[in-house]
Amino acid sequence: MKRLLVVAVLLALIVPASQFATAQTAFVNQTVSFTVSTVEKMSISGNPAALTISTGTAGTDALTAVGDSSTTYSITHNHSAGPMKITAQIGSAMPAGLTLQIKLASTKGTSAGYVDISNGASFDVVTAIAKGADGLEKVYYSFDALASSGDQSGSRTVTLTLTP
Amino acid sequence: MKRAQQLQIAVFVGMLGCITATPEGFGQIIATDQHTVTIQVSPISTVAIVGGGVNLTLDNASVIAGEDQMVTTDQTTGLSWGTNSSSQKIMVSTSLGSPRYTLKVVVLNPTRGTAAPEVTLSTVAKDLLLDIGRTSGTCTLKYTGIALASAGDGTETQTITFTVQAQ
Repeated sequence: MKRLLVVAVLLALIVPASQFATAQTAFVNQTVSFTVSTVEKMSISGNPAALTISTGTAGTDALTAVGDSSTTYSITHNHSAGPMKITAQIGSAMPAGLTLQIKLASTKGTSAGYVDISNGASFDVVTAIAKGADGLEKVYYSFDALASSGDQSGSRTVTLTLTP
Repeated sequence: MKRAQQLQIAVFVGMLGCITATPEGFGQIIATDQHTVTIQVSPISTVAIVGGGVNLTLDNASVIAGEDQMVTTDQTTGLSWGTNSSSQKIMVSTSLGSPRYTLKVVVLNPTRGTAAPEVTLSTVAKDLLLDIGRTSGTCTLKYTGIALASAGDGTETQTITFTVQAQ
C-alpha cells in the first residue's frame, strides 16, 4: 500500500510537468480592424493679387487682359467608386463686358483649360481625377474687359468644389 | 532469608524480565522509512492582451490636402506577460499576407525588457520586446495605421499574434 502511494505521488508530480514541457513558447492573438473612410480634402493657398486692367490698344474695344498665377490648390481623395472632378463658380455674375476665366493645372485629372465663369454658373474645370493626392497645382486667372463697359471695380468669391 | 521470601523475589525478577522483553506495552520500538518526492518546475511562459481588440479609423480629420499618405494611431491596448525562463522575448506577426494598408506596432513603457524599434507587421514574426527573461510585466501597444488615398477606401481586419519565445 505504501509503495502504491509513493508511485501515485510521483506520477502526480511528473505528469503535469511533462505537459508544461512544451509551454516554453506562449502566444496570444489580437484583432485589429483598420477602416479607411471615404475622404476628400481640398485647400487653396490664398487670394490672388488684384486683377487690374490699366491699358489697351487704341482703336480696340477689348482692353489688354491681365492674369494671375500666384495661387495653388491641393486635393486628396480616395473614392473607390470612381473619379472626381473640380467645379468653379463665382458668387454673382460679372458685369457686362467683363470676363473672368479660370484654369486649374492637374496631374491626377484632366484640366479643362481656361473656362469662362463670368455668368455665375458652376463649371467643370478639372475632370477624371483619380484616387490619390495632387498638391500645389497652379490656379490661373485671366481677366478681360471692354472699354465700352466703363471703369469699375469689384470682387468675387470663387468657389472650387471637389465632387464625384 | 526464608524460602518463601526467596520465592517471591524470584517471581518478581521473572515478571520484570517478561515485561522488558515484550514489544508492546511498556516497551517502544522506533521504525523509520523514507521515500523520494520529485518536483519539477518546467519552463512556463504566458502572454495576454490587455484591453481587447483595436479599431483604427481614418477619416477626413486625418487627411491633409495634397498628401497621399494618411496616418492614424491607437494606444488603447497592451500586453501582460510572465515567464520563468531566462533570455525570452516577444515577437509579433500578422495573419494578413498582402495587406492593403500598412500597420505598424511598437511597445511603449514596458515595465520589463527593452522595446524593439517600431515594427511594420507582416506574416514573418519580428522582435517586439527583448530581454524579458524571468519576469512578469506589462506594456502599452501603439498601433499606427497608414493608408494611401490612392489605395481607396475600405476596411481590413488582421489577426495579430504575439509570441513569447527564447531570445
